[in-house]
Amino acid sequence: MPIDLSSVNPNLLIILPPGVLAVFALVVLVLDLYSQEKRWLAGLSLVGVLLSLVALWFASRPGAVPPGDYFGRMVTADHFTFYMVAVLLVAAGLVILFSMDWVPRRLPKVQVEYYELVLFATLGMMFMAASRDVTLIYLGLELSSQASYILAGLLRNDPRSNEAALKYFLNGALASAVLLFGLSILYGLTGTTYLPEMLVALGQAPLPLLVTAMVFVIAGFGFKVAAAPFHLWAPDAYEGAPTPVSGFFSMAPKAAAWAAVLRVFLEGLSIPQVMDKWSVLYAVLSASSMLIGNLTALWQTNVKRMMAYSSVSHAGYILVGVAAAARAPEVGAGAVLFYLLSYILTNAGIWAALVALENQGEGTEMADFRGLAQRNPALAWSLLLLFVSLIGIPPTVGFFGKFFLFRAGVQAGYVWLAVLMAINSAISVGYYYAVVRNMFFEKTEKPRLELGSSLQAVVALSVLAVLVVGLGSSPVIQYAEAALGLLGR
Amino acid sequence: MTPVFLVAAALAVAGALGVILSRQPVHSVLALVLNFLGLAALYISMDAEFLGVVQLIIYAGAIMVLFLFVIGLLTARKDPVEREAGEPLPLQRPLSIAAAGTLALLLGGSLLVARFGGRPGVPTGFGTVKEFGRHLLVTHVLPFELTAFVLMVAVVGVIVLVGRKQA
Repeated sequence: MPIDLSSVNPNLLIILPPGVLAVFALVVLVLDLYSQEKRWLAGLSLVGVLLSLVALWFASRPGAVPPGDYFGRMVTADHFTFYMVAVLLVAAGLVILFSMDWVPRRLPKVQVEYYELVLFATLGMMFMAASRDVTLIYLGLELSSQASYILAGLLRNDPRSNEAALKYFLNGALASAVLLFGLSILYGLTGTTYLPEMLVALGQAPLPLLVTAMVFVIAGFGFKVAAAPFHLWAPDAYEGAPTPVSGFFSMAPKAAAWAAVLRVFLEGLSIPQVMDKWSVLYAVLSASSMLIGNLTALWQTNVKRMMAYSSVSHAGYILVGVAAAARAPEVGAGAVLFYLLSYILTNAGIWAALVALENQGEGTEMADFRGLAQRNPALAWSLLLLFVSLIGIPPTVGFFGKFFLFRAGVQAGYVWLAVLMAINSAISVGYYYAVVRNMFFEKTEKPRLELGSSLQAVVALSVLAVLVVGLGSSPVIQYAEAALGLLGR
Repeated sequence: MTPVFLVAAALAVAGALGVILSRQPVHSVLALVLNFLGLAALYISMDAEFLGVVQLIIYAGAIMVLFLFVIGLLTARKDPVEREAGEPLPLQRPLSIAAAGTLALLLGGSLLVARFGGRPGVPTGFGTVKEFGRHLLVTHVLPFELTAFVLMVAVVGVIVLVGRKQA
């Protein structure tokens, strides 16, 4: 008897970007066994990411894939998917690019595994962003998390790397369990894992159980995006993990987790009875992340650790948009999506500078930045611009990102949160300035810092993007706000 | 109360008793195999054929072999791991009685609900190999494939982190 396949609704174009990435990851994995010279495999991984972007461009042309759900309602074709997958692929490409000189030096024996794991993690994240079914969102999260745990521990002979991997693994596994528990309560209440159907069925669900499930899901995602008070693993994981890996952590997995947060809460849990509740909870998380992240970052002497706390505070800023999205969905979610892009573009250059220092055998302490303006003026000025973007001063992309979040907060009635965000941006000047002061006002005897072509490319791309995307932000924010309009609401 | 049910249930209970009553760990494991056989027969008698077959292949087959390996490796050492009989852990008995009581309450409650609650039963075809296959390879084909990648990443991770390749 033939099996009824009509419910599958396959579409090869929508699956092509992750498909290309998966094929390249597997090809790199196999070629690793047969090639003596490993460096070109890094280039091949980068080609995979770029081809995946090309495939995404084909799939995202208007009319190429009709909006809807494919493969048994597992993969969704909408602006949200296209936008987030593009952001994740850009992040993965930048990470591979700034790792190319570092990996052969520090991880000579597991060079190719590094790139494979980055590709596998990106694959998982693409499915997290592209699905409206919590089964696939969870599996994508699991794939990206497992690859991330391994990446954190790649420096096997460095106890701090081991510590980072262990802490990240234990906290991450706990977070996954908590998240899965919440999701399974939701499944038990509604009988479906498909978010739009869940939304319809939630109306009849008893409120106490629903709120319990919601709190578990918020806590689970809170760990993954390192929002205070669920951030305690982040500083140790960032400091101990190999430097390019920490850069990867601060860019890609968090962006994917935010995409999942928006999907689950705006498409699955957006009935009025719970919307206000999660909105307020996220607002509280936002305030605590901003304050704890920024105030703790002021005391750090290690720049990797400082960037970890900085990323906690940025999670707080993004949460302003998430909290606002409950009351003003298009504006709030659009601001979050735009901020994710701006954060990734800005962070790429800063982590490239940290990688450059390690490439010359130096550390990532604050003291290692002394006299950087002498040693490499172009890099120092680029870093200054990137920090300015992280603080949120015009005309950089960071300013526009914060501006959109601020606007969303005010529109949703969270004026106090928006004001708190402005105050925290001012506090953050303190620790970014510490790096800038070391770069420009301290003298050093050290020789010139050479970047190498791939790191130069990342810093240049990052600076260029910070200016171009900042000044030309209106099409991007329009696309991001339209992304939610097509979520099927 | 079919004869199949009676025989299978008796087998399962006998196996479960054997697990906790035997002194030798190996005997416990073999009793557990008996318990699993009884459970598999129960599943199949209730039309959950897939669950029954999986119970046999995975639990009685693979996991029990793992148990036997572990016990074989542990007891191969000189010092016996056996704890003196008649010396329970502190609070062992009250805690186990409380756990058993809770379980009995839950089971009794769900039995009453199933009998008189009027809840809808499972859909027809639930638990058959065909239905399971349809879910796995038609509606959930992408998650199924992604699981393969999750396992692959785990394998790569094991080789990288504990393999002979030194970083």
